[in-house]
Amino acid sequence: MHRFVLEAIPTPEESREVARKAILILKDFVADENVLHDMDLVLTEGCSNVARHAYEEHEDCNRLELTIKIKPGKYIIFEISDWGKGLCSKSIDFSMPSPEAVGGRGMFIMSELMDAFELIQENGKNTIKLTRKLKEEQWLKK
Amino acid sequence: MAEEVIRIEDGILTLKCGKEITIETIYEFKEQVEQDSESAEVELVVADLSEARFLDSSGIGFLVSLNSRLKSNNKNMYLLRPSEQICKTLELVRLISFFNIIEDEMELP
Repeated sequence: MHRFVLEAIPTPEESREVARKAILILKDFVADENVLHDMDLVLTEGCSNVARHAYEEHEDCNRLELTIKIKPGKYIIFEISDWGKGLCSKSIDFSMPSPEAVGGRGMFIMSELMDAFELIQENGKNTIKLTRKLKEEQWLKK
Repeated sequence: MAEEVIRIEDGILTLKCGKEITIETIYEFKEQVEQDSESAEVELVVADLSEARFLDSSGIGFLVSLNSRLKSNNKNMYLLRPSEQICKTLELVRLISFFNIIEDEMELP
C-alpha cells in the first residue's frame, strides 16, 4: 500500500492545484487516461466542496488535507478532510439536479465515478472517503 | 492565468475558453461575459471549447446559468467544438442534449 498526503489552504485555486498534484502522483500507477480524468474530476469536486462549504470565513489557518492510498492492482482511496463544518450525511443529496440548476452536481459526479463513499467525523476532523476499484488493464505495468 | 478572450463581432459574442473551465478559472470572466451578453449588440453567444480539456461542476454551473440568462432574453448560446473529455463530462451530468453543440461556426443561424 502506498500512501501520500497533500495539504493546502482551501481556496478555489489551491483546491484545484491539490487535484493536479494528486494526478501527477497517480500517473505513476494508473495507465488509463479516462480513469485519470475521472479521478481529476472527483478530486476537484471534493476539494472544491471544502473550499466552498467547510469554513465560514477564509482564514490562513483553514486546512484541506488529501490522503491518497493506492493498492496497486486493486484500488485507490481518497480521503478529503477539513476541520470546519463538515457534511451531514442526512443532508447529502446524490441525486441529479434539474438541467437548469446552477449547482448541486458535485456530489452526483463523485458518487457516479467512485465505487464507495463514506463520511467520517472524528475529533473535529471531517473526512469524505472515496474508493475506486480499477481493472487490471487500467494499472500501469511495472 | 486567464486564457479566455471575449470578442463581440457581427452580433456574436465569442468566449474563447482556455484549457480548463473550473472553480479556479470561471471567476476571471464570468461577470464580464454575463454583463456583455446583456448588450443589445449581442444576438447570440458562442462558447468556444475547442481548447478546453477539463470541465468541473462550477464550470458546468457557469454554462447552465449563462444559457438560462440568454434564453430569458430570447438569445441562444452554442458550445463550439467541445473535446471528447468535455462531452464525456456533459454526458455524465446528462446535459449533452441540453446545450446547442456545433462543430463549425458555419452552423450558426
